[in-house]
Amino acid sequence: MAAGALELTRTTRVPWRRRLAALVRRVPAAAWLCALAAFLNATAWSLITPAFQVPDEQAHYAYAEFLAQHGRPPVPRARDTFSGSERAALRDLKFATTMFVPRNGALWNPWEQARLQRDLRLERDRSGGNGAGSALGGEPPLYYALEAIPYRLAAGGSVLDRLALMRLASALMAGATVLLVFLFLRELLPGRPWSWTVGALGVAFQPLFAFVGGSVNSDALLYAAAAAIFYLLARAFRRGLSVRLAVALGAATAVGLMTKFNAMGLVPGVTLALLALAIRQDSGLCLRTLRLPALALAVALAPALAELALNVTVWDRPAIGASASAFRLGSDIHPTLPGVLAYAWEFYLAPLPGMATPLGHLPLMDTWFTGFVGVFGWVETEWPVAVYRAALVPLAALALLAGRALLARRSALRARRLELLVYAATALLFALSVAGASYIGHLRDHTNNAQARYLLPLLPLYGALLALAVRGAGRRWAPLVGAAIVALAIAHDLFAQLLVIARYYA
Amino acid sequence: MEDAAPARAHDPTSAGGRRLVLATLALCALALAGGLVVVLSHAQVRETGTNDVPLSVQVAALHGAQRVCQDGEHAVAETAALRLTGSGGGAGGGAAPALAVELLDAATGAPLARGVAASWQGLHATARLRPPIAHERPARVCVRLAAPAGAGGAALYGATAPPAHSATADGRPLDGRFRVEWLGAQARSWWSFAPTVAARVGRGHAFPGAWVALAAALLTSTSIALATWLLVRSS
Repeated sequence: MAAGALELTRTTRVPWRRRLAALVRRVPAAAWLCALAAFLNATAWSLITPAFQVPDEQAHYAYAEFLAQHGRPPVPRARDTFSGSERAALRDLKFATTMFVPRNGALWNPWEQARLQRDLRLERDRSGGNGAGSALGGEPPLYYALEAIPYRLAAGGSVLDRLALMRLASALMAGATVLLVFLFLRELLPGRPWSWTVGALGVAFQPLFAFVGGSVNSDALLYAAAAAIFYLLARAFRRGLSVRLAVALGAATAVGLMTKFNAMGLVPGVTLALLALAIRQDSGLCLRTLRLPALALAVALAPALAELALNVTVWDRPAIGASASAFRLGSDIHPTLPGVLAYAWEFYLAPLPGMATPLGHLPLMDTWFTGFVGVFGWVETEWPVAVYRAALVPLAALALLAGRALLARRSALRARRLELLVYAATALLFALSVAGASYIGHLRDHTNNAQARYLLPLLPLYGALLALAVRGAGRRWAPLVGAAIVALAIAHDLFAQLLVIARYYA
Repeated sequence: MEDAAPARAHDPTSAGGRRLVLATLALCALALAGGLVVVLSHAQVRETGTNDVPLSVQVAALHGAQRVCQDGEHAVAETAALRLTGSGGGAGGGAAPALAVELLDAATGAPLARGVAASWQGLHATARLRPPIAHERPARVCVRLAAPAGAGGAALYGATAPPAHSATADGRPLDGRFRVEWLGAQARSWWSFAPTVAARVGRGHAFPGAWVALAAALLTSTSIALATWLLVRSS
């Protein structure tokens, strides 16, 4: 009977494996190679960037460590505390004096390294600390649960062994993101395969993306989840919304929601897309039309509801983690819709007459474009201003070429206007949610959370811009423009690495 | 946005397209190599270390024969000069005064090196040390005006610190520590500085050593080679 059961298991397993193998084979080799390039590049960044010199990496490490040690996520606390081993590493790595101070380097002298190694050997505590309960205590646990695997694999080593493996896991997520961007471009622009490679490689060598991908930061998984959402949406618009696609879309959204609060900003766009797809498919709106959108949203929300139940019953956390975060609503602040919209305008563009200037005079350039071109470390490692100004030239050229591509295909564009509107709305709503979160922080303690990395879940659209620019160059010049885009992306990445090396090691 | 034509029709799949891709990549590689050579050939005096004190407040005001000293410093090997940050000229707005710098052995108090920062470049005063520091050692840094009579005052910048760790003025604790930067002997390009940078990149890692820098370079090179090959091959 046991043999029979085993046979049954084998027969049910084989089709799954075959199906998985077939699924893997269906992905073009070029997509895998783009993903490999992104993984290798992010891994290089993980070696170049000193430990914990990425925004909040010390807190993300602490959360993963807490989850690995205690088998549960941390509880929100008033202040962050770390395990003894992490504290020792942070002290000997000169964490506090290096971050925010561009003139202070990493470990330059052998005696600093010797002290670090000695202290890491002596300090064994991993269970102390509250898992960065203040910075991340309410955040969902998926990314940290995945990071607990490399943490466990390096259990016999030091903090730095574990951090190195955990960074490698993030680099894998960066590779997955680029794979999904390639697939998104394949669905979005089916006519020209070469442009998919150009778009995906442009993303793979985007230095801010690679910098985050080479660190322990939940953004790495959020980018992958967002890329999966865009890919599945494009697939649904091209091939129709099926039950499988609805489930897959729900699953991708669930991964995002279980990774970081920011993923909430993708939900309105996904909902809108699902409704648009279903209405288009049924040529109208009736109760049956809502079947697949409801299925997708149910799949998306199920893990979050399970987390909510565990928070209340087992983990002794607030039911909704975000309600304990710095972005919680409360009686101490009074946000208004006009206030949010005015703030969002100032947050991204430029203050209008009469508006306060929480982010300076031209945030679009000074914060967002500058950040996208590259501000590294704890948002303090920058190029000279002239570099950012010079970067406007290729960006303008890309925008013009992409615009030309869209203009040349006006009729095709009209046929796909619903899809394009959905992408635009998804991007806009996500950007609004980032601004909304910052607005709450601004109301509560006059802080602003404007960092370009928060918008990198929209990287698939950046890849689309690059791919469109190749098309816009026309048949004759496409090879030149495509090759130039990738070469420029590589040069951008290379000089960004040199910038970080100069900042920390020279 | 879909093309009605076959998928490969508009791609640079022709021999001409591939040649154009290759030519563009070759030109870009040349430009990139040229840019790297220019950047990496830039020579300047490199820091051998700092005391990691940020610049946030004025820590000391030097007047007359007053001597400001700071314990807990590490004189870094292969250091030939010491740079201080502050302002020369003092309240009177006179000429920036020269600073006399003395380095003492932390354990014995014996002099290790001396130097004079004769002039200021912006906020920096740099004193060449005699003799240069050959080996790393714990040290005490003392600063005073080189010519107390007739010169204006000078200020040293740094950050607040507990009294036990603060600098002292004639033995009296100040409010913080001043920033010290240790400098090498001569201007070096990135090429000649590369072994030092590689050694520094290798610190603070799970398996420390210059191999970390080599591995990073190898990974970046491989990803670039892969991308280039893919681009050419798929064209």
